[in-house]
Amino acid sequence: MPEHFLFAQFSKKTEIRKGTRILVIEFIISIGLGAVKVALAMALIWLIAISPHQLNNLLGWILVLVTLAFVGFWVPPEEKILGSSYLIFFFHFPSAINCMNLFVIGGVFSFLCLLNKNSSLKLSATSCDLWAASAIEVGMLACTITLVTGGIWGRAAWGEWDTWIINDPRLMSVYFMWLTYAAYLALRASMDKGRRRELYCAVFGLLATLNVPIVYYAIRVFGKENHPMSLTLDQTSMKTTQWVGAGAFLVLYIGLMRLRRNYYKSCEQTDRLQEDFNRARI
Amino acid sequence: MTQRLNIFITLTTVTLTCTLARLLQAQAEKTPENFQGAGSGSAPDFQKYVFFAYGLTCLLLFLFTLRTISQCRNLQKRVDYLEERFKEANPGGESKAGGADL
Repeated sequence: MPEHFLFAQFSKKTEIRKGTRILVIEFIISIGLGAVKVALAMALIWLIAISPHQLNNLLGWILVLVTLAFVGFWVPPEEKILGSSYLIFFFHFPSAINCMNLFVIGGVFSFLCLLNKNSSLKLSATSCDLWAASAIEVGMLACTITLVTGGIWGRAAWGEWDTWIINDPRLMSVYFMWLTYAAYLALRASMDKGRRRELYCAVFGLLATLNVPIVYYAIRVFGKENHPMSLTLDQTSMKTTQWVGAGAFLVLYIGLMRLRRNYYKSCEQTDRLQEDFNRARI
Repeated sequence: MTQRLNIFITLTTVTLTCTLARLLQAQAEKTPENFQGAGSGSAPDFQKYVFFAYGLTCLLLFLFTLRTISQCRNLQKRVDYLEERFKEANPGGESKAGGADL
């Protein structure tokens, strides 16, 4: 066997070994990164679902402050096309994405409320109704923030306030969604407490959730006018701030939603107590 | 717990607003040569828009919190009133009305 053939075989084996080692290292790194992501997601779920709502609110505010600090000290003060107006994005995007999240949560609880009409789930229909109302109320706050910040940004970027609403499918659909949920809150406020109000609001809440996919796909379906499908941020600091902001506002809004739900639950308990007192003539 | 939470929320909102104002001031104080896009010189100054957008976001969050605080106070008054009614009806008995823990 010629010597150069042996050498070629040896170097080939070495290359394979090196390649295998790199593959194993990459695999371990990817598993490690995956574990970190899962841990972060679990921590977020813990913050949102299991922690006491006071802690939830506290962490929400702290995370919003962290986002503000990122905006003030980390991200570049100007972007090449939008100038400094792109800084509005770091409050506009989290509110926009979370208002849709909250409206979907409201729709899910409305559905559960309707489902509870005939079956006995762990969550009572009244509880589902309260959760849905709380989610939609905080969703309205987020939607209002989205419209306000979007309007200001529109004025800065496009130079006109009215382009903001009239000529754009995304903006028009968000405005319509806002009005639908305002009607939901008006309906809720105009009816007396009871099963009838729960059913009416659940049906309305479920139908109003149809707005969410319309808003999301408005640009793909109706075509782009001014509002882009998404803003492409090219720097790590921008991307990190964008997603930290989204997480921060999610934690804050869920905290506010839990606060509202506890308030409504306390109101229900007080009403029941008052009725008992009246019945017992205390 | 409700009162403590209210105080906490108010303080946090004030801190948030103050920090925001400071951050935006710091942003505005930066000289043009610190800006990345200073070379192009095409982008106009949008600082006031950024200020209004962040300020209005804080204002809306603050108003929402204020509304919740005011509603909690009204609820607390109702609970106190029920508690008094219960005490008057049972002068020797323990209060069962309790407070609403938000």
